[in-house]
Amino acid sequence: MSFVATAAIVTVVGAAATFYGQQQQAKAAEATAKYNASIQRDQAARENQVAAENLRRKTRENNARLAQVRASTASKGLAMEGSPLAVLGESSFMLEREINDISYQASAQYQATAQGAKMTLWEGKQTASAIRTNSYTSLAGNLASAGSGYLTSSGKV
Amino acid sequence: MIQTRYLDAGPALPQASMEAAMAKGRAMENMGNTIQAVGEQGFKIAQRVRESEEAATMSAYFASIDEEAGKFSNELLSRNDPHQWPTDWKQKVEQFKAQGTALDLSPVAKQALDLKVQDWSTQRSIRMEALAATRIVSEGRATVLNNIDLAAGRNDWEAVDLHKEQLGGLGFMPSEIDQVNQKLASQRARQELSEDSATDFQGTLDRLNDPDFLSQPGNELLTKEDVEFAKKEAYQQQRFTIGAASNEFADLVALGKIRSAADIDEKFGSTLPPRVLQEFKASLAAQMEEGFKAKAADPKYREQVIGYVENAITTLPLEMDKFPEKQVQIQDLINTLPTGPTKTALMKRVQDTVEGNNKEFETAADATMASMAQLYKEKRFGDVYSEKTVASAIDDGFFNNKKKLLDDGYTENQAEIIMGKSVDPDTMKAAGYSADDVKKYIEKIEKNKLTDTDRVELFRRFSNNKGESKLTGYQAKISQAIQRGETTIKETDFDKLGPAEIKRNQAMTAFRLWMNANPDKLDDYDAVKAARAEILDLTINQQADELFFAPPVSRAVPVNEPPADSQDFGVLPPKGTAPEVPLFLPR
Repeated sequence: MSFVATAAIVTVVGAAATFYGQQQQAKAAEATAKYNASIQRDQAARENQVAAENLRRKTRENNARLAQVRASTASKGLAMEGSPLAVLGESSFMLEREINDISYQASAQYQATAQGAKMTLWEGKQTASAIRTNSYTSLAGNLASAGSGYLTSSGKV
Repeated sequence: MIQTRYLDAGPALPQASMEAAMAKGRAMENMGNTIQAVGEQGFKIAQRVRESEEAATMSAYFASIDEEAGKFSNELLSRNDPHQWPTDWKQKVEQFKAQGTALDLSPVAKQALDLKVQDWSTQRSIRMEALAATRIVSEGRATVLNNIDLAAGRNDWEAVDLHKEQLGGLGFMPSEIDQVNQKLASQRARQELSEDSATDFQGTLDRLNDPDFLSQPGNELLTKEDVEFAKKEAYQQQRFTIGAASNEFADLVALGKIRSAADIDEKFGSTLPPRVLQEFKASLAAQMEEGFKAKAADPKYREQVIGYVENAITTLPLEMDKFPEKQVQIQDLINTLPTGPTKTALMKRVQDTVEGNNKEFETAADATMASMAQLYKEKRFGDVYSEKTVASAIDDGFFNNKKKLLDDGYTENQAEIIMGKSVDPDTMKAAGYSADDVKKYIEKIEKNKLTDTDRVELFRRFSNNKGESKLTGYQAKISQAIQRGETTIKETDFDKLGPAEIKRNQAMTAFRLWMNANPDKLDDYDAVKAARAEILDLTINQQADELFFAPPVSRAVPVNEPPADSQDFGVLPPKGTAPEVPLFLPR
């Protein structure tokens, strides 16, 4: 085997290895993105569950507080009318608003985490795509370079 | 008071860390990146290794094609078809490219190689095409110059002009064309001179020997070298002409078709100079003489003739003024010899001399033959001095011969004064004489009282500022004798046929006969040396009278005056000492 042919084979092998490595990088990027996205999605689900539980607990807490108000009013002999009623109503309203706030916050957090997972997937795909595109370009360039080197060194061009 | 306890969702569950989840994949990614980095580093190393190997391959390839291209270029350059070079080169480049394509290279390297090869071949092709173009132009230039030379060589000047019209189109610069024209003009002048030599060698020689020849109109383009060359040609033509005429003359005499001087004039008068005709006439007179055949058949005559001719051919300068006469005499003498190896050998030597093809010392025997002529000069055959009175020396013509004086550069008036015939006062004054001296000399001449001393003094005075004189040495010798009160002078006289020359001729004849008898020993140094020693012992150590029963015969031409310019050829018998039977050789 001539020196030129040997050099050509080595060059092609190098180009192939480069291409293979870049493909592997792309796959790794995709896999990593998928993995990270799944973690994010799990995180969102868990936060959702936590929010639901916290809502349930808040609701029970609110009910307990309203019951305390009624009991306190009643113990004082006050009828649930007039100001005590208004106070009770106000308290109920405020507690409900806290529940709503928790719900809203949980929903927003879920949305953010879910969207982050999507973004991670998108980034992984983009990265993988870029790496693949680059690998094809590199492969083409490297093969061209190998061919050129072969033709030049063999004096054919 | 009611106390309600509420629940809490509790702490959120811890989420998984995405970073932690992706850590394993990220580690895998990091490992892949590291492996890939290793692979890419491997690519870089592989690339460097490949580039290094391919660079070496390409380097070797270029070295190879560079070398091959160099060889091919040299091969192309050695071919004489430059038009074909670019095509052949392109084919070669295609071969180079095919070799490159066959290399084990990556596509990138091949592409780079193609570019480099293309660049390489383009540069080389441009150079090759430039070389081919240069060669084509150069060959075109060389061709047209060659054509011009050929046309000029065959004396076709119309063709020369036609070829010259191409010079401008082939990129010759005006200065180059001028040079060609100048060269052609000189060549034309030389050719005309050469033609003159062929048709009238004597007249041409006379013209060429004129010191003012080069400054005469029409000769400005000729050089001193041209003149010397033309002289050689004229002398050669002279030798050819006289050689052929001599042979023809001998044949015609033998056939009886030439019987008189008139016949000679009629046959050769229009082609030969008078002095050669005179030699023919002398020869004819000798041959017509009663007893000539008997003399010619005398062995002693032949002994002298052979040696004489050997010496003459060995020492005779080809271009001396008297050569025509000497040539006729030599050929005339050879014709008296019977047919045989000696005559053949002598004829060949004469022929070589006439053609200017003398090969000196072709064998050890040839060198020995030449050495005998030298021995004679060194007086080894005997003393060659002779004595003559001062008066006779003067009367012999050196101070009393107008022609000789004129030939030696003296003016007409100077010659007249030296000879004591008349005095031109202006000439005397120009030589530094006072009016009284002039008057004194006029009186002496009128009274015929001019003494030898006076003549020598006049000669000496006119010789001043004249440059070298042929007669100066002679004059000095006479002047010295007069001053010492001596009545005789002693001089080396190679022109007299005395015992020394007889011995020399006999020795050279003997050696020629030995050469004829021993053709296989001519280069046998010991044999040649032994023969030479034996011959010299006989000729040098013995008396000539003991060797010769009778003096050689002559063709008996009267001798009117001694030769002035021959040191080795003439065999003039001393005046009043001619043997009872005349010497065989002409003057």
